[in-house]
Amino acid sequence: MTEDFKGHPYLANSKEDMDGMMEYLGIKDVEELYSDIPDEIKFKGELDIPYYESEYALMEAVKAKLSKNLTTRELRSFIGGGVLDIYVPALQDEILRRTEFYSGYTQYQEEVSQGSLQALWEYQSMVCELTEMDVANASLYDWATGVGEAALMCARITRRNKFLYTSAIGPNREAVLQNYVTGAKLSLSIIPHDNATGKMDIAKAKEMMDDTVAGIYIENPNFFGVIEDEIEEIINDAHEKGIRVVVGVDMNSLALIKPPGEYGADICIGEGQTIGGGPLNFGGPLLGVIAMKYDKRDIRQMPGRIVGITITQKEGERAFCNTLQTREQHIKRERATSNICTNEALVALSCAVHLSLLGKEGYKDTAETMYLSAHYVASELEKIGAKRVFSGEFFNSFIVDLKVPKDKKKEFTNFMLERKILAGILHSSDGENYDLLVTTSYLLCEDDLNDFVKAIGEWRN
Amino acid sequence: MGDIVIKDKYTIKDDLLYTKDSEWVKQEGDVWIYGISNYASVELGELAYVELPAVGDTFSNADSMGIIEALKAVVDFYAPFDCEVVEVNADLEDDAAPITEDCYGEGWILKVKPTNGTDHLLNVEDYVKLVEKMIEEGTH
Repeated sequence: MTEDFKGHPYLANSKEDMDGMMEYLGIKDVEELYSDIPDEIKFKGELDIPYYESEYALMEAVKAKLSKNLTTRELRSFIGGGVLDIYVPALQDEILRRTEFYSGYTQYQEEVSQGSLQALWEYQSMVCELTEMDVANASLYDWATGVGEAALMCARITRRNKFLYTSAIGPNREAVLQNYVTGAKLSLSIIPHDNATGKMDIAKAKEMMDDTVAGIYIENPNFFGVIEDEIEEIINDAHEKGIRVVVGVDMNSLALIKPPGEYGADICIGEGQTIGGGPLNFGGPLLGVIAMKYDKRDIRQMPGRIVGITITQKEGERAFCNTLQTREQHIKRERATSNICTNEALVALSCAVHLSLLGKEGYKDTAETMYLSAHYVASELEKIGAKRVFSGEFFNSFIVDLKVPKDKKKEFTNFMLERKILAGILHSSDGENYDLLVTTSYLLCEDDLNDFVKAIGEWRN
Repeated sequence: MGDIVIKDKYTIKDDLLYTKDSEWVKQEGDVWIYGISNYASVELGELAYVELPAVGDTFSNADSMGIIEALKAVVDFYAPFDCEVVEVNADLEDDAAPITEDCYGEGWILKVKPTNGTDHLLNVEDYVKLVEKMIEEGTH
């Protein structure tokens, strides 16, 4: 700040105002407000921000900076692992941005906003239909927090403190799960996968499931893209021992493969961004999907808001309401079922609009396109000698054997970027050599797929 | 003495002991039956759900043993003394109405075994005084 600072054209506080506030707070410098932030992550030096610019000059400068960003509109994205490059139709934005809807927060005195509640209720209904579960909530932050919440739910329901998950879990989801359960003192154990198929080791899973286990988490298709087609085999065992089965799904895959509700899972979670929550945007906003089978006792352990439908007392008209609110913080305070009090209501609404626009056929068509594209790429890659790491059946993701050495990761990424390709996720089982998790969205055309195969061929030579 | 009715609204039974948190207990051999008083159930109104502890759970005096959800409020119910749970009225998990309709009978919540003293419980006269005081002070 300059010495002769008298005020700022866009900021209401004069130097006098600021001095007054600082005096009141007993600080000498604004910086003191940030003293809790560790020094090593604080920005050091002067921020080189011009004091005055005209609006026009400012907009030009911002535009010039932004034009340096590369997005999935300029690049062909083969990134998956829980997110997906999707197209957001103009109509979706138009509906979403209506002033009645456009808020990052859940409305206060929500029952007055029947339209918002109805939209969330529709979203929940769609989630239930896709997963074949009975109850869905009005959203969590993302898939990863869904895993953590589901683990805690299982622990509360069963009053046990052990939780199992399979090794083919997304690394970010694993990290969040580990963080999530520390406070609750839940111990975690990993069920290994079969090195040939990439599926969980069923025998080992059965061995690890005893009556001290609260729940088991399985991704399907798993992080390697492989479809876990043997989950049904452990469901009965699990239920006999009182273990709850949680399945994390790729929401698009449900158009083609059996939903968890059909094969007896208790809780289903997933990522809603991939079915229309919104475009990729520096990793967010995402949308945590969570749904469960109905049980009067267990449902009270579901976190987050749940919108219900009822009739009004006098006229018997249809009405929407928040239901089971006694689980929530504003009533149950520190004993609330979960500390999730915000949700992704706007993204959930966006997702519901997207699915409505796609319709049943559109939803299936896009999933088929993804499936066919992935299988085409896999077979073309095989022709040039780049094989899949796992033999298990897959939906729209698979890991291709590339063995990029650790010190060449950046080089590989740049090599693909030069060809306008966001290559996918480099994944290593030993920390030395990296294989590539490839995911195909429905936005990739035949040329894109062929260019990708060609680029991989060039890299390998 | 007979049951006492306060303000034509709350019935307090004279053959029970009480806690200051408006729970009642009644000794039957080794085991004590436990529930909430009519004053508490009337004040809570219609109930939505009861979260019970598990058989075998042990509590210290005044620990929270479970939760009663009314339509607009959630309250804990507390251990009347150091105790172990020997039986729960599991039917309440499906339907909490008996607590509202018959809190001293069908609406019993738990059976517990004391693991320490029970001398601090309130007799009916003291409990009635406490309820009257709460009504007067408006702290109910």
